[in-house]
Amino acid sequence: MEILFILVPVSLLIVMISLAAFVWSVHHRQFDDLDKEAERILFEDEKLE
Amino acid sequence: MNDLAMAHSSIESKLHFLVPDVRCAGCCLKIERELSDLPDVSDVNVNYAEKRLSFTSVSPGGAESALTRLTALGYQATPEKNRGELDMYQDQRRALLARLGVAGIGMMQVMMFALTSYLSGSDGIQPEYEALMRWAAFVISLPVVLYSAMPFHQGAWRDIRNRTAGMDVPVSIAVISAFSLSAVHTVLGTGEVYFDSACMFTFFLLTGRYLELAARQNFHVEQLLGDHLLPEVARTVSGQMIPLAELQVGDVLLIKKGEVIPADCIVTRGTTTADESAFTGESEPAFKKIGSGLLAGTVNLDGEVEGKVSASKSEWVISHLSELYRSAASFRPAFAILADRVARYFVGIVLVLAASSGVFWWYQGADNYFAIALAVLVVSCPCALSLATPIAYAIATGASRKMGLLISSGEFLEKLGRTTTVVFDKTGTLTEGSLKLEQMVGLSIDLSRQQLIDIAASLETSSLHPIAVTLRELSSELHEVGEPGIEPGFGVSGVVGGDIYRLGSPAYVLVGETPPSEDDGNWVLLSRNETPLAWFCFTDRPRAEAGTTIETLKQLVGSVLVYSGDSSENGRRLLNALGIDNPAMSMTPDEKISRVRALQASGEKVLMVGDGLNDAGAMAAADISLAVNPVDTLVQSAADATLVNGDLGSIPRVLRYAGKVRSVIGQNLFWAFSYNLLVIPLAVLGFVPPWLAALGMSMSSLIVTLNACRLSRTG
Repeated sequence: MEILFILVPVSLLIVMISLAAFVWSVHHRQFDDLDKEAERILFEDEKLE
Repeated sequence: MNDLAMAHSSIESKLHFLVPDVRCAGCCLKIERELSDLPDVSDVNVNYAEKRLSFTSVSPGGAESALTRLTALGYQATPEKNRGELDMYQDQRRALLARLGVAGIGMMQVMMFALTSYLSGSDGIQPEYEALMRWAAFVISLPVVLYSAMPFHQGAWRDIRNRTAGMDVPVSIAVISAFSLSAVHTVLGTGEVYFDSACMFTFFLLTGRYLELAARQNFHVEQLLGDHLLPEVARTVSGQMIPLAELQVGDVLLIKKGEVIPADCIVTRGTTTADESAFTGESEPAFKKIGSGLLAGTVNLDGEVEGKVSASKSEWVISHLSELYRSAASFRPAFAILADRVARYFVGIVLVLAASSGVFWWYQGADNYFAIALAVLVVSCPCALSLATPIAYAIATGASRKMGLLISSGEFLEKLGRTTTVVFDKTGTLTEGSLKLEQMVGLSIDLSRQQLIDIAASLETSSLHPIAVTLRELSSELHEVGEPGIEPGFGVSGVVGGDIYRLGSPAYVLVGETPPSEDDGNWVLLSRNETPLAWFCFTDRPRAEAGTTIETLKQLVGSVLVYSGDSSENGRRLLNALGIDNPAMSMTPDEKISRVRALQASGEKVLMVGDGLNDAGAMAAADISLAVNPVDTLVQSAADATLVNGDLGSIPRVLRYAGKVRSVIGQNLFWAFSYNLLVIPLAVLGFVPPWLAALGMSMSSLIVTLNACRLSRTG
């Protein structure tokens, strides 16, 4: 079980990274308009060339 | 358009516009795609929730080509004024969402580490592993306590400096003390840790704050959209462009097809339909003819009309609307103020109570004295109490607009729920108000039928009464009228070509004259120099929904009465057919007022529903008043609320809704009070562990907010 002494800090590191990523994305307006992004897939991208 | 000018002066600039017509996320995507194709525009973004378009113009003329393309697509954009407010909300919301997310993720992680010791059972886990779990929980709690809970700490600090005890004080104390004590225990390797409680408490409180902010933001966006419905200038019939602020009552405007109507006006020429959905929630376009009212901010759909400005800018419906939105956001009914005052004392009591129960249990030698003090502190925070009413009112005011109801007095919904008697006016309220000239009897040989109508219409030029509207439609030319006089409820007078004319009920024009026949209808007499000239007979149709509305109202409130100025037998029969057995007929405006007062004296709560000047007095006298399709702005400003869509069927709906608002507020207050009263003693006695306290307290705030959110459904 000594492996926990490595795994728990590693998982903490991952949590901290994901928290930072979340805060970054909120502040970069990734969550500002969820309706539009949800429906984007329903519309044809007409710029195919 | 100042923004356009600015776009020309700088090569690259970020521009913001509001696009009120955006109806779905699909619209946003279409606009984005179309505008991105333009060579001189980049970074196009349309936000659906805010109906806001922003793009970067990379070369001069970018803004112009973007707006041209937008117009071609069928959308109208207005440059954004007072952007700061919306930006502020946006920033707040983003900051809160980030804090909320961190608290949520942190809470889940901390819970996992806490679980190991909860599940380890009686033998316990080995001390070194338990220490590891505690340190891990400590690390994850750090961002939650220092970052997520920061608004509470700041609020508490502000309160303490101002020497007041706000809601944030106990919250902040609870979070910080739970965290610091746990940190000390982690370092020393003794005692209990409460990281999980601290994180959970923070998370649930932030959820409540976030919901509240989102509700307020929606409210604000709608208000801003209202401000942006109006164009900058209006075109007069002579082709002159006048800034809105300089418009005068009586200016005649030319409104072309597809344009936004710039001012509240009365149609003087032409017919059209107008899209009034922004005001009434009614998607069906409203038909407009001579004499109809046009609302500033609505769209003229399919005809060119001329309209006379009927009120000064501050009296327009749209100005009332913005004003209402501003005041509704800050309106607090009497019991909300009381709840707030109670909450303030409550905080002080809570702090003392928490401290003394901690001291008591420590004195008694209990190990968990801190846990008990913490639980008391957390469990009794009166957040729910102070949230209970304001949030419900904010949501209800917004939702009423969807039913076509414009509330101008904050107490309207509160009082509506207690109404026991509804009093209607007849003409224009229960009936359509558009009268038909059924018969005409000329008593003079020297004037033709058309000449008589022209004279009568001229006398009525300044009146908005249904008779005036009908006469104006039938007239071929209008004469200049000197010394115009108007006696609401009776008639009008004036001088044409040196002769004094009077038009109105026989009692007003020439006492003693009687109508030439017993036929149904509203008989009006025209006289010249005290000699009778002609009788006009007007008939009116009841509104299609009047009968069922009265029926439903009788069931809802009990008593439905009609006070009518009309004296005709026809009017009485029409009312009987609608289910009114004993209508009070031939009422003067003063009689209406005294009858309303008499009703109130006998303990009734009166709702007066009217539409014209002759009801204004009675509406002011009644407990609350509702104006239906008012043709006169004076009536509207006197009324506590206005039914803009003119659909009587909305009245029972609004009544039921008011009942719902009252019961939701009642439930909220009841819940908040009884929760606090019930749980505090249990916490003091040590029956509530801190995590349960955190859950209970936050849940009660959340329940109150979610319960209020039910009000956004008007059905």
